[in-house]
Amino acid sequence: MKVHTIQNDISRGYKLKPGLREKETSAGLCENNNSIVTFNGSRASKKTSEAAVKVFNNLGHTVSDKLFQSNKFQKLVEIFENKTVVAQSLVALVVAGIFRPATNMAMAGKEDREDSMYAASHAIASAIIGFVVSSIVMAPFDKAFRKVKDNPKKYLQGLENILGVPEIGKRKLEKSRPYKNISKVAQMIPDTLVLGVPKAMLTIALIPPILKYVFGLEKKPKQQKVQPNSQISQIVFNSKLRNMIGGAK
Amino acid sequence: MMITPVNNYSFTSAPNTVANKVIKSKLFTPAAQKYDKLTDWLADNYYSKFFHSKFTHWFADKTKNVKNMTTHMAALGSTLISAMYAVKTLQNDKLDSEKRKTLALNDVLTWGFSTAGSYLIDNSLANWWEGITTKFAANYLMKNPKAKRVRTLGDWKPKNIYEMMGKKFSKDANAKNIDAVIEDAKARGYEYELKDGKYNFKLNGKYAEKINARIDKINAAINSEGYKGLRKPLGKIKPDAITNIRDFNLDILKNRQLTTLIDGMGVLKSLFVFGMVYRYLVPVLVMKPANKIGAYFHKKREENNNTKAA
Repeated sequence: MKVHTIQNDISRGYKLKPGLREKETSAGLCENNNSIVTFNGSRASKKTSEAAVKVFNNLGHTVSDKLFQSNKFQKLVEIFENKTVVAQSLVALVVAGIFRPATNMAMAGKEDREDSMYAASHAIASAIIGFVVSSIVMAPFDKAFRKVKDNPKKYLQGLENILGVPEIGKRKLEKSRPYKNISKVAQMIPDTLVLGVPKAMLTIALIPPILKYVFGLEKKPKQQKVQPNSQISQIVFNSKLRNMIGGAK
Repeated sequence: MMITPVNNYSFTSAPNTVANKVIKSKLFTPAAQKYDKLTDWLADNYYSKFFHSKFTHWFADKTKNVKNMTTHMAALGSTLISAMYAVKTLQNDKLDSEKRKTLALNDVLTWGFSTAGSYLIDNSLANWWEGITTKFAANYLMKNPKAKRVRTLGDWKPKNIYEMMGKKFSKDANAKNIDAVIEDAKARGYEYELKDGKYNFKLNGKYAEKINARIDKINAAINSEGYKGLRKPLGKIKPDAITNIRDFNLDILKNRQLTTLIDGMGVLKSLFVFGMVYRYLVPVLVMKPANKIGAYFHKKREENNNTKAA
């Protein structure tokens, strides 16, 4: 006698016992995958199940689930909310300090290999300086903001109307959009408005010695074969300059 | 019985061991105290004053419908830096006037395309990221079962978080198994209506009812004569209020740590998109090919000029 497993029955569309049916098919209403069992035991097509409420099957078993459950990732996400400026510099460190130099080097031809190496070192140095400066300067600001967040009654008393809450309290403020917006502005203004430009200038000033003493690189004056006299060549020249400086931000 | 030194040690709690003493460093303790005072001062004189300023009152009123302030602040930062570069270019004496204008225009255009691109990508990823954040929250709840509020909601599986949120869904009225779907939806507490050839299902505020029943109990205790605490009666929640994972957490789960993490996920997405566009996509993937195309046209033009001259 051939004995089917439940899994076999499901895949072949056999009817399940009432107890099992309740267990499996009730979830089936919510499933959003290709091989679900519906109420009459037939296999639902993706088209009919797509509109239903999604269920995270295999939750906790996929690679992304393992990442989401790791303490390190949760700590990182917390940093993004509580120390937004440091997080911004961290993104810059990853993007401009790893992705960009790697792509620059990969795309470099034989002729501009030296230039690309210089640009890559430049990008790494710039990202590291930005991250270090932001982390140091913003540390007391972030700690101060944490104090405001943990004890809003002390610091935000009397702002009930402005923040749109019946009373000032940690839980009440979580629901307030004005509080969320103002907090983000207050957190980011020291870096954006006050430190942004000096930080960029400091970075430009610090880069040559860092390149010289850390990376052992020095920009040699290069004789230009072609003088940029057309509009297109001017744009090319400027974009190269911008690459050296570090882009929009 | 053999007692290992480790076990023996662990049962002995000597009051004067180094571990039990609070070590006070002569150098670091005063420095830490001063640092703490500095942060107190910043909280009082920067954050508190900023929140109480007239600008903030005006700003709060103007931005009450703005959803993602992080993106706007990131864009503002880039605008300032780009403006600095453009101004520096215009002030560069080594270049002639026409060249300066072209280069400054190039700066502004680069900034404009980068900013527009960042906003476009950030907005187009919003729904997808909401799903990712919901999955992240489901994982958080799986790892921290206490946050599920089992006492009020009963035991539930985080994989069914969408159903807990009362997410709406629709089904075609002509679907093969529609009668069975309706039957099951009824059993699971969904309301439904037939509209434009589709059955629209909506969870019947089942969980909101449970929460409100609990709130009633708490309020009854607060309003009773014997209550000596300072808590005020709680407001009830609306069954239809839950549209996203943040609202679900604020209204139903009420977990502060999860709120921080959900907000952090939003910030992570926005900063990563802006960082990628400003610092990677434009300078590397757009500028490099643009440089090569520019160099190619320049070379062609030079060749034409040389041919004409010959």
